[in-house]
Amino acid sequence: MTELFTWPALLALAAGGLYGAVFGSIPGLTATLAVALFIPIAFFLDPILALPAIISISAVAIYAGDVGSVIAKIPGTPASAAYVEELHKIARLRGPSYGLGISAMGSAVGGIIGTALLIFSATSLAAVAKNFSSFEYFWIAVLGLTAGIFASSGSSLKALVSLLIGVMFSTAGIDPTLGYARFDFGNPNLLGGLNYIVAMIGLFGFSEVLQNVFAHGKIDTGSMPPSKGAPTRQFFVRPVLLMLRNKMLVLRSSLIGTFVGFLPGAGADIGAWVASSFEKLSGKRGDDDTEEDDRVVLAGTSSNNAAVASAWIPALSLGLPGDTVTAIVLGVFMMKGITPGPMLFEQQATLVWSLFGAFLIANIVLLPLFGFITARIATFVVRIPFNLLLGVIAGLCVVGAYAINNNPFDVAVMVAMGVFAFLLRIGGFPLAQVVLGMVLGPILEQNFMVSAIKSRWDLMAFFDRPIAIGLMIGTLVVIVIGVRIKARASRANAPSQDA
Amino acid sequence: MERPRVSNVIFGAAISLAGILIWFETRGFPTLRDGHPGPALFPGLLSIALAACGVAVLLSGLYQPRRLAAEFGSIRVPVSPLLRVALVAFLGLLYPMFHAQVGFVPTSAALIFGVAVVLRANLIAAALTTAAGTAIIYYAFTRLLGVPL
Repeated sequence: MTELFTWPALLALAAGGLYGAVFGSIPGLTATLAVALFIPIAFFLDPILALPAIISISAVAIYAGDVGSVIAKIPGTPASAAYVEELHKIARLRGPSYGLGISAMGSAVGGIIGTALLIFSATSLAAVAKNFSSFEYFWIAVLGLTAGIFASSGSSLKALVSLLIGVMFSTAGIDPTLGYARFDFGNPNLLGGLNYIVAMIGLFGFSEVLQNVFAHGKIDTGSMPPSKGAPTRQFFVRPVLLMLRNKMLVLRSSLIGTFVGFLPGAGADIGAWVASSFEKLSGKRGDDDTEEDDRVVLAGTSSNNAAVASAWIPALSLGLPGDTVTAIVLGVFMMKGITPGPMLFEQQATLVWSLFGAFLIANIVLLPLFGFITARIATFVVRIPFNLLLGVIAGLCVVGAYAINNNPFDVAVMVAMGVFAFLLRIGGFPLAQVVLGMVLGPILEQNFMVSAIKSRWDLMAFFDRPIAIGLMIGTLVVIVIGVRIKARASRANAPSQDA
Repeated sequence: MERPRVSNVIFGAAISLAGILIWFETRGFPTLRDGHPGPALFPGLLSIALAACGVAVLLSGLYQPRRLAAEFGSIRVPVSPLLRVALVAFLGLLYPMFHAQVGFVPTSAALIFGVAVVLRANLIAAALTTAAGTAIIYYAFTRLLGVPL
C-alpha cells in the first residue's frame, strides 16, 4: 500500500476527487459519465494512479450529485434522485450546508463500512474462487445475468431485453471455438468485436448529449437557499450528531447498500432507492418527529456510497462488474494487461491493497474535504451553462473513443452506440444491463463452450460439481426472490396507474 | 414515457424483427467437426430469446387496446427534436469521416459549436467555448497524453 502514499498517487486521488466533485455537482452529469470520460486519460496512466483516481471520482461524484438536489431540486446523479425531495426540503428549512453535510457525512461513513466489507469479502471470495473451473464461471455468469434482470428498477422484461442485446453485441467478432468471424459485415475493424469501453462512452456519454439535445437541455438552477449558522458547524458538527443519534440506521442502510452494490448491474442508484424507501416506509415516528427527512437522506447517502465500494467485490475477486463504473474498471484492467479475478490478489497484491487504501482515503479525507468545498461553491457550480457544456462533453466523447485505439472507426461505433442508447432510453430500456451483457457475454459463452467440449457435450456435467450446484441454486433463489419483489412492487403500483 | 403502449408496440416489433434477422444470419455459421453446434449456438439462442421477448414487449403494448388507440390518436412525431438529434449525431461522425482531410480541430469545433447552437446558446459564448474547449482538448490529448489527433 506504500505505493499509494507517493506524491503522484496522492495527487491523482485528489485530482480525481476534485473532478468528481465538479462533475457530480452539475445536474444531468452522472458518476458513470465522469469515469467514462476519464478512460482515455486512464489509458496513459500507471494503474497505481489510474485506478485510485477512478475510485476517488466515483466516491465523490456520487456525493456531489446531491448538490443539484439542494440548489435546484435536480438530482446530479440518479443515485441522488431517491431522496431529492427530502434533501431539498432540508436545505430550504435548515440551510444548504446542513443538507450537504448530512449527505457528505452519511456518504463517508457508508463508504467506510462498504470498504471494510469489500476488504473482507473480496479476499474471502477470491480464496474460494481459486477452486473454480469453467463450470463454476459459467454459472457465475448466469447468476450475474439473472441478478441483472431483477436489479433494474423498471420492467424486468425490458431489463432482460437490454441484457440480451448486450450479450448479442458481445458475440460480434471472432468466435471462441472455431475462430469464425461473426457479424463483422466484411469490416476488419469488427473482427476483434465491439470494444465495450468505446461502447460505454457512446452508451452513457454521447447518448446523454443526444437526450439533452432532444429535450433541449433546459435546466432551471433556481435560487440558492439561505445559509444558516457557521458553515463548519452546519456541515460537520450537526450531521455527525445526527448520525450518532441514528447509528443503527446508518449501519443498516450501509449494509443494504453493500448487498445491493454487490449484485451485478445494481449499483449505487438502486442501493439509494432501496435504503431510502425502506426508511420512508418504516421510519415515521409521529407528528412531532422533526428528523424524518434527515433520516431518509442519511439512509440514501449511506447506502449509495457503500454500494460504490461493494460493487468492487465481484469485480476484483471474480472479474464480474458490480455496476457500470466497475465495468469500466474491468476494461481499464484489461487495457493494462491485468486479469481481474482470484489470481489478482496474488499477482497484483500491492495494487489490490492500494485500491483498498484509496477507498479509505477517498471516504475519510477527500469526501468530507471536497464535500465542504463543493458546499461552499455550490451556487457557482450548478450555474455552469449546460448548453455550452454539452458540446464540450460531445467533443470529449469523440476524442475519448478515438484515443483508446487511435482508430477513427471507434468514433463511429461510439456515435452509433450513442444513437442506439438514445432510442433505448426512449423505449424505457435500461442501459446498465446492456453493459452487463457485453461484459458477461464472453465469460458465459467461452466457459460454456469450454465446459461442453471438455465434457463431450454431456450437459449433466454442469450439475456435477458442488460449487456449480450451489451457484445454480443461488440463481434459482435470485429468480424466486426477484419475481416476488417485482410482483409486490407491481401490485403496489397498480392502483396509482389505474387512477 | 408519455405513450408507453405505442412505444412498446414499436420497440417490440423492432426487437422481434431484429431477432428473426439475426437468426437467419446465424444459419450460415459453421458447426464443429463432430456436428455439435459451434459459432452459431449462442447468437442463435440469443436471437430466438430476443424475438420472443420482442413479442412479449409488443403484446404488453397491445394489452388494453382502447388505451393504445387513444395513445395512437394523440401521437405527434417530435420532428424538430429528432432533427436536432440527427444533426448532432452527424456532427459526431465528422471526425471519422474527415479526419484525414481536415484533422481534429475543425471537426471538433464544428461539433462543440453545433451542439451549443442547437441548444440555443448565446453565439458569442458558444464561439468562445468552442475555441477554448477545442484548444484544451487538443492540447491535453496531443501534448500531454501523446494521442495523434
